[in-house]
Amino acid sequence: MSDALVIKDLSKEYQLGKGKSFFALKNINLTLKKGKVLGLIGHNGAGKSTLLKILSRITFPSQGEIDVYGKLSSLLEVGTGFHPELSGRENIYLNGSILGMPKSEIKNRFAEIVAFAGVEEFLDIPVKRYSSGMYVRLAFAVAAHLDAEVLLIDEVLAVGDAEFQKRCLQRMDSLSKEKDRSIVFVSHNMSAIAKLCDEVAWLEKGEVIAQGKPQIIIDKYLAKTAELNRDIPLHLREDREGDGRAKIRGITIQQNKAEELFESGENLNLELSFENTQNHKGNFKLDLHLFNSRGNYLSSFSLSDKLSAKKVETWLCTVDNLNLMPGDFFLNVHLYLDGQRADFVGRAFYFTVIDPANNANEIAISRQNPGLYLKHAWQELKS
Amino acid sequence: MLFFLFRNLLQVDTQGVAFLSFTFSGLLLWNYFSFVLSQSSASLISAQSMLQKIYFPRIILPLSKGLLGLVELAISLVLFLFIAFAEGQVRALGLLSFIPLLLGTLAAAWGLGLWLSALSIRFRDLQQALPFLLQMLFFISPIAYSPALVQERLPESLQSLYYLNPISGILELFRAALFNLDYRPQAWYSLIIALLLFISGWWYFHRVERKIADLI
Repeated sequence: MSDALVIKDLSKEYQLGKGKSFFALKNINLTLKKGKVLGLIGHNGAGKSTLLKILSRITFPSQGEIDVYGKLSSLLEVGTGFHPELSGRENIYLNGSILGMPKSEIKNRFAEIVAFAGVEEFLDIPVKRYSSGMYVRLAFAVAAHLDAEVLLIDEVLAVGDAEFQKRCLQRMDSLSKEKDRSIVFVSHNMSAIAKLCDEVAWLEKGEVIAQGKPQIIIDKYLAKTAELNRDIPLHLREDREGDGRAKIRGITIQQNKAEELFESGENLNLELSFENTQNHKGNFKLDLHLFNSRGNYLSSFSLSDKLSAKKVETWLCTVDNLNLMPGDFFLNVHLYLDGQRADFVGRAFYFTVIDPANNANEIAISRQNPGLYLKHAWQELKS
Repeated sequence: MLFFLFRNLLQVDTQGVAFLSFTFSGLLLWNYFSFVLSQSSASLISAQSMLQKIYFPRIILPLSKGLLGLVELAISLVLFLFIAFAEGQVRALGLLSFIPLLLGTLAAAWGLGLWLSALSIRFRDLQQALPFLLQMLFFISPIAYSPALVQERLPESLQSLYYLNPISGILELFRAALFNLDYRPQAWYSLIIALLLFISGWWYFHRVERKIADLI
């Protein structure tokens, strides 16, 4: 398979004045094959956007080189180059030209673009009167119909409703699979990255610190993120997903313990509270998924019930005999209201299981991949 | 206001040409020059957000203002022709000189515009200073008065320096062709200056082009 984009030893240095400088990117080496999707993940300030800016020739690298095979187009911010006074129709032409599409091609795809954006009725009014959703949809529609071999997309899915986001993802997927286009995709939305990408590179402080199969890299990334989030109280955490109709406020142990330390086989009593922020009426479903420190799924505790009239609901979950091998564990918490996910917090609660009775096998411990401890007994059989 | 200042108070010499035709012929090119210059030098800063998000050849921004200025120019030109033919001192053939001299004006405006737009990325205050510079340039250029007014007061050795201002020579040539007047041969220097400004502006712009998005 041929290459679409090759980045060799790329560095970008910014002068901070007084002889000091700062490396926004350091020795980046990446290759994107034709028809594949490369995801870039990393925390804010890791250099993802700088990399896209260099790839799209907006700014230039201090060192290294980039080979692009074919035409490259980028969508770094939705709606740049839109003129508020012009109508939707005019803006499609304007934006298409700015992004490098010849007029004849825009003409050919005009109907397709309009249908994708769903703005048929509003084509002839100025875009300044558009709702922000329409604006974004139109902008993405133009970019999604670019006929470039390599497409750079930066965090555009953060906007728009769930339905539109889904369509964007499908469009990108079909661009790469059916039309053999190559895409570099930056996002903080891990499920989008996992669905769409063939390969993921994780950037941290300007360097690629891991690269490979999406799920593996994402798991590592999330584990690292979780470590950073571990000390933040649950209700203050920002790394949530869901539509926000309810908020998980806290998980505490209802036992007299100074720390989250359990003996294997002990009881676990968890108190969980969530806030019905919009006074929703109906049913809710709580899912607590148990994982070990390696991120392997072990078990779930689920609860379905009717919402009460109370603002904050508090529930107690009791687990008799916490039959786990010694090690570290965490819970992911999902909260659904009438089947739609309202809130999700990953790694919301951590606890450690110890094994004073020494039931566990040495080898099992050394693997650091603790699982369930099944109660068992041995007896010698006399033949 | 300027009209009264120059005609009634200062009683300026217009080389025997009717005042309105004379002044308007100067303003025609001057207005185009000052429009293109001020617009193009501000073009990068005003397109800041676009520069940081989309790639396109940056030089399009300042250069496109040359086209934009043509709209206003066309309207003034019609008005000028009306006045000039009414006052009856214009040689129709002399009007042909308008096109090359307009190109000369454009070269000068683009040249300075390219310099200033590229420089104003680092030195933003240039944008604040530009109106004053243009005002000064307006008064030292022979727009509402004849160049002789200045030339007579200058020592001979400095007379050629007057044409370092591209507007002086271009206007002198334009009026010479239009109203059948004499002109100093040094007036041609202005066209060379205009061309040099354009070439050097182009060169400087390309030199800083790569850093635009980082510095702006």
